[in-house]
Amino acid sequence: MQLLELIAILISGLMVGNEIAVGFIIHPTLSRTRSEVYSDSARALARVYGRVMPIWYAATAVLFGIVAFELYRNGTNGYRLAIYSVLLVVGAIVFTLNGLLPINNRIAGWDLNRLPDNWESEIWRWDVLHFIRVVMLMIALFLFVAACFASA
Amino acid sequence: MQLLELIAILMTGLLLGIEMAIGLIVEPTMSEANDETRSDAYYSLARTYRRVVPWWYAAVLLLYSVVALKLHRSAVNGYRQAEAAAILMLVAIACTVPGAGPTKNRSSLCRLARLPRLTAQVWPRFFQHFFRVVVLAAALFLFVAACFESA
Repeated sequence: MQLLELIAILISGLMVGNEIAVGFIIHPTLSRTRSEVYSDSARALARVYGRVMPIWYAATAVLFGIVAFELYRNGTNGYRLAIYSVLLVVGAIVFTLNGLLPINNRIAGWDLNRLPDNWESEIWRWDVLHFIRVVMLMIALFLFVAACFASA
Repeated sequence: MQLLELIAILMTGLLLGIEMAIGLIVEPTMSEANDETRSDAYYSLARTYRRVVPWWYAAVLLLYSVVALKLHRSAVNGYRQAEAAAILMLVAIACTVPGAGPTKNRSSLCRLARLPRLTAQVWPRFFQHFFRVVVLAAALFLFVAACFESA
């Protein structure tokens, strides 16, 4: 069981770190470059992240779910924290599907020669929603690690 | 004490994720963009990372060392793993200072220069970064294991 917890912490930590990198380092940095560079980079990254992240989110949700279920079944301390973390990850996934994914798909489909007029506001909106998602994920990770400690 | 361990685990996980984002996603993605985009993006990102990441590494090393020392003093299980994790963090930093650091500094100086694509020239840097990510992952794994052992 402990190995599973270790793997879950590692995978979710990497995912949240990735999301923090995008939201707090990569996008703000690229936003200071010229508009052609910014739009080109944003489109390229939207395509790659659009392929990679769904698998990562699903894996995190499944691992958190399994650990929470095990903690609940064993009646150990911290199972409530683990359940809250699962709910938060599932909430982040639902939030992504409804809020971020449509914008991401539009950005990934941009024709760089004919960018939409609102392309900057699209990215800005994505960044705001992404910030909310990162906060949710960070709380989920914190709760999950705390649950693992409590049950150890 | 547990709060310190929690913070150390979270900080390392996030650092590792950030390093993974740059090494395995952003750089390969940008290497397919046109020269202008690539060099501008590299230049800006290298400048930002150069300011942020060294502090993060130092903070993680410090946290690992404090936890390892505490566990060693208390003579609880897992102190060896914590010490090994701190040593691995040192190795990751040692890999950065002579390797990726100067490369990053050069990237931050060569704005609009024609940077090489992900070809033979760039592979050594890519692998160096990959090696650092693996070392960081191993350090995190050992540290989490140490915390579990001592809990």
